[in-house]
Amino acid sequence: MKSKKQWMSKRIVRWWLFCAFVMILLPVQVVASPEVVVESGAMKQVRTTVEQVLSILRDKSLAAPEKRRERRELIMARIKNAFDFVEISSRALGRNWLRLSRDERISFVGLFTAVLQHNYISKLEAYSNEEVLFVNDELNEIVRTDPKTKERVTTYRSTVFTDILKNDHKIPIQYKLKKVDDQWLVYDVVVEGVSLVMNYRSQFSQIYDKEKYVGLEERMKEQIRKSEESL
Amino acid sequence: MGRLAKVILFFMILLLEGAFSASYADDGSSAILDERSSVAVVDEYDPFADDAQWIDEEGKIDEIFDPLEPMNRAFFHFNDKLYFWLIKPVARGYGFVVPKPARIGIRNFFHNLVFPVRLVNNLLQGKVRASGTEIARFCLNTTIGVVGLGDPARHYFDLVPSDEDFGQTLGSYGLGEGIYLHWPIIGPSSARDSIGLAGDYFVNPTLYLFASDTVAATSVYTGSRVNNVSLVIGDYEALVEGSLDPYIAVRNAYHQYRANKIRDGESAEQ
Repeated sequence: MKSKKQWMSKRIVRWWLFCAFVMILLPVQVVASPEVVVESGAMKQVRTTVEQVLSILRDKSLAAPEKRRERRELIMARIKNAFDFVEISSRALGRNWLRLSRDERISFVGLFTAVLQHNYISKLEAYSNEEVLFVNDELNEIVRTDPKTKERVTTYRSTVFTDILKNDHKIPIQYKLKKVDDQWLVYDVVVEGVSLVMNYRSQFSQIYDKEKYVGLEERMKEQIRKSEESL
Repeated sequence: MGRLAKVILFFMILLLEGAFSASYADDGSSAILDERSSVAVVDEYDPFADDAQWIDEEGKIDEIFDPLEPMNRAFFHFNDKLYFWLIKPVARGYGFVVPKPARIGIRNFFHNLVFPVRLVNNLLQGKVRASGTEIARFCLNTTIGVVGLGDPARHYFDLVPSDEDFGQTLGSYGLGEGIYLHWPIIGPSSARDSIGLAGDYFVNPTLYLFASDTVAATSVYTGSRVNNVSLVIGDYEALVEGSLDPYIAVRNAYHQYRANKIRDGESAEQ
């Protein structure tokens, strides 16, 4: 009777140890994974791009005014790899994108890319000395049926949440990305709730209504000319 | 039975851990993606000919009702010039003289002062927790934070302010923006937010200063405005200079910014 009891308690102790071991292991796994394994592709893409751009902006040897053009070109090269300018352009045009011919689309994407790069870079220049926090990200799976082939297509989108600390204020900046083949590409930047693409869409739609594509193209060329001059 | 239970438990734990790491790692989903995309991508994919895929995804454009556009544009033009010719140079000069920590302190002071506006609107929106946070913040920052110059509530107690105003309260009740208004000096607004601004003045301590001494109140307003602008020089420029029509850019940015505030920053995914 006594030995049975002893045996039982031994078993209990063993179980206890086993459970404790598991308990120790599990939290480690859970806590460790988000930090070590996990940076998602989208987050990684945003982080590397922002860090590369910031390091160019903070590079003292490129800070001189006569080097501004060179600096912008370096930044543009980085941004080109991380942004999907065709998607950005079509979204910014909204329904008017459907009204453009293929050639007009190509010229529009080229012009708008230049406009955006100047705009985004000048924004970055204003923030170059601030700290950027990469908060977290969200993965969305979108399943839709292709209207032509009737096939179900899954696309992946992600929102990466970052904060910029400027003068003791947190400015939330979200990057919206989509997965193209194996790469995550940015198609919108949302600063304090203001979507860059939507902001341009509101401008484009009003200009397009009044001046059509010709007027739009004229304005973009004018804009690029101004940005080039201010360099 | 004991051994079997152990074995089962062991495998269950293995599975669990697998599930945990899979849910955190992106590798799992990207493997699926590779498989799918190789099927989905058509050989001759032409992004320029493709009819944008997102059209049905988010085709909605926010309409802003702006019947007073000519007047608003005139005021926008006025404010724009006011900013570039007067406020910005003054703020810049001021920024050279007054060190940044002091300017942040002054901004904190005015932010702390209009605490009643935030409290009342949090209460009106039924935000009990945020109201409590605001009260705690006011008490901490007014005492330990030396009349609100510092923000120890945020830095040491992690109490984040929730900037609510009457315009947002009305918006959260379901009132639409109404027409867009661009006021001289004040800047972009809407019919709703203008009513909100007027309503907030009843609980704004500076109103009482206004009633007793208009000159003092005006200089206080100008002072705080210049102070705050000195901390955000470059933001307005980036918005306006990158746009094709600065007036529309500001109007839309204001609209999106307010809508986001009313949603309290929650994303608007459909």
